[in-house]
Amino acid sequence: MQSEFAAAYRASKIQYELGRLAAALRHAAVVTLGLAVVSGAILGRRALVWLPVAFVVIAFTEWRGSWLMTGARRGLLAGVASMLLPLSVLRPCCGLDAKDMGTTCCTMPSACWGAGAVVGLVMALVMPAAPQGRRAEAALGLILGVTSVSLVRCSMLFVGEAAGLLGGMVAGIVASSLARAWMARGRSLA
Amino acid sequence: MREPSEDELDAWMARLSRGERAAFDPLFRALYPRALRLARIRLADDQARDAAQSVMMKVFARASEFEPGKPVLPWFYAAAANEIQTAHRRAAAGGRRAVDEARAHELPAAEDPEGLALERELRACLARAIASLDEASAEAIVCLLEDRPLTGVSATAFRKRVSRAYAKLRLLLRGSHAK
Repeated sequence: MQSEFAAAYRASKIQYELGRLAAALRHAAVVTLGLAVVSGAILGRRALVWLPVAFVVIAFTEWRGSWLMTGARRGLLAGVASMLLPLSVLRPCCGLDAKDMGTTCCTMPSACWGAGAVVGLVMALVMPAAPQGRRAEAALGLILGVTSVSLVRCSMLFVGEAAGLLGGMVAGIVASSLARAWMARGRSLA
Repeated sequence: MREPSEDELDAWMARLSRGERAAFDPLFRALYPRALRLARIRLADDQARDAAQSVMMKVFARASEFEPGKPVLPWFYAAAANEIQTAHRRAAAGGRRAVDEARAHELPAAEDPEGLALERELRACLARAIASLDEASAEAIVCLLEDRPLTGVSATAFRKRVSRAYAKLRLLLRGSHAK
């Protein structure tokens, strides 16, 4: 009886994981397809190169589920919203004349970090209200979600600018998550 | 060990459908004996164990598709009944003897608390499904179960109404989770 119970337990657990993976892959395929349409229309064909990364991130977070999935879903939405931002907002360091000439314009990379951090802080507003102990998971999901979509957006920027923007966004989300956790801790102590 | 309530089962399944693996263990421990008990009604012991494992694998493979907020037991019993019916048909086709058909329809004895609990849960699932039917269908099913005629309706119309009610019940019990 015990061995049959254990065998059924193991088999069911494997089936559960396979079922989750299949559902995650289906979900990721649909979302990536939507992302391809939006990014293709807004940013052009060049942006599609990064879609496999978005697919892998979505499939992974959906398979793991829980707060990682909730965070990633919010991050994806925020990332899609960031796609609608004009390039001039994300490229504050870029001189108009250089942009017109189509040359490298990132003369002040720190400005990209700053812009990224601002975007990241704004995005942290959509951070899910996870219970204590699960906030890091939700924040990681948010970062993964937003980064996977932002990569598509960043394909329009140069490497240094893109790295600055992504780094800034990650720093912004981490900073605001820490601030939230600190405030919640203060409230619970009071 | 205390038997978990239906609300607890619903909450565990809702958590599991969201990917919280911690809910797998208590949910499995609560559902496996139910699957085994149900399978033993229609199948011989060795076949019942195989069928119970098969039921659990099917249910957990589709756990991610479960809609939180819905009751888990009607969904579970519908999936289990389907799987056990398939196993029963396979056993019959293979010439293996399943449980005596006459015994399969017997009500559990008073000294069989597990059987009575199963009976109670199945009846509750059916009652809940009937309650969510439209008035005409619910009335037809209740009359059929209580073996009394439906007043003011011809026998042919009654049969048609019962047939439609059955189809609705099957849909309700299977929900959107079943194949």
